[in-house]
Amino acid sequence: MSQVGESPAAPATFVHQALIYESEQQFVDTALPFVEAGVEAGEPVLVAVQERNIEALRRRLPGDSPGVELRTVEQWYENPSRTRAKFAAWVAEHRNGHRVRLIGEPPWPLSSEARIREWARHESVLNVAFEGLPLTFICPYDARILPDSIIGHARRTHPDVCNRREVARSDVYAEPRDYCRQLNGEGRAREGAPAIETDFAPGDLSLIRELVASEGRRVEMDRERIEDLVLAVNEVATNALQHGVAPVSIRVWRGSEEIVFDVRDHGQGVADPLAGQLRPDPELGRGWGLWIARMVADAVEIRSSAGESAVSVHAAVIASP
Amino acid sequence: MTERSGVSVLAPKGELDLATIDALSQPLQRAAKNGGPVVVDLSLTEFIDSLTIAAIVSAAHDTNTVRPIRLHVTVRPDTQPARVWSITGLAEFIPTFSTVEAAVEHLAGAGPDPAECPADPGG
Repeated sequence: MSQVGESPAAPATFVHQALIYESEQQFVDTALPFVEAGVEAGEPVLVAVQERNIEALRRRLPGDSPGVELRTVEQWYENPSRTRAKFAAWVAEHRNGHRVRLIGEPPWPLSSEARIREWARHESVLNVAFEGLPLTFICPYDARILPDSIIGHARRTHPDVCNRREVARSDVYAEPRDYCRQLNGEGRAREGAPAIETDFAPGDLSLIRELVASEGRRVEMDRERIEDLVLAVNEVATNALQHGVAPVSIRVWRGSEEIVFDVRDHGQGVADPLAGQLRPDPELGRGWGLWIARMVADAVEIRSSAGESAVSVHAAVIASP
Repeated sequence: MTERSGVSVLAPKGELDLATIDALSQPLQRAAKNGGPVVVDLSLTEFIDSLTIAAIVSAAHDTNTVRPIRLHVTVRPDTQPARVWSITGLAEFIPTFSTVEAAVEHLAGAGPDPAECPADPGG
């Protein structure tokens, strides 16, 4: 057993720990000493958790806690890839030679299996993306509201699991490539007849973009979200045309919770289970397509089966007030 | 492609995608072979995707040229190309301006250091 924030697998540089809690007190018992130790050591601390957890910490921290930034989930979290980039940028800006302490509680979208898997992939990918950074990242999981399946993701994507002031290795932690491959394999085509289904060629891409934009307008998405969705589907469609085997087709399902755009071809599919998860080398002209799609989409799922490859883009439908 | 103060300016109009990317990538490759300097001006471009990014990055780091070519990018704030360029974070590596005049002036040698006046592509 080790103290929270220290890894039993020392000397790791990136420490990634799940905090599975069943009460506010249990959250505070782990998070507060971790934050206080950061203040003491002069290490920058960023906390982005549910509002009630922010309030619980704020009540207990002195008014002047230098170097501590407290944000609610709503204030901090975007989609998985952009949120990861935000954390990385915050670390780069604040580390100033110090170790950095993060606490981050993802906004699990309970209504969408695809988007849950995307956040699970995010948690897993963090172990690769942040490898070598002098950083301790604790991810709280609220066992009062999250289903066992998501708690299972926590144990498989964090090398360590905290319990109050102690930490133990997770005995079911999975290597990111293995776990992302497993998660990709759990993706399924949406059931029921699609609202739209059509084959397309490179010359049709502008029509595909107009089709996607009109789906966004149907559910009253704002302009920026429509632009992002158009870009994401365009990237996935382009990827299939460039690397897949014709005919390439797109299917659109209109759900009450999300719109799904499923692009299929008859090739072998995308082999790399981390495709699009890690920022491409800024000096290389390849690898940008799926990475951009993941930066702007709510979820991108990659599936392959015999002779058919499919990549789907999922867009949450936000109900009008 | 036009020439301004010894700088090649490529200003593709309309949408750049898999069907139309040659309109940028071919003259860009030619300009890179000639050694630059080049401005890729996306002010009049209505849509770009990863193919435009790949074309620009490849030209800027073409290992076949004797020395790295000097390449600047222009994006107009609050446009789709500005949003995509901002997502990639490439402005950190490739000098980026909000007007073609500023980019040309800088490449022609008269402008201030780009670190002091990069475009903020917004988004």
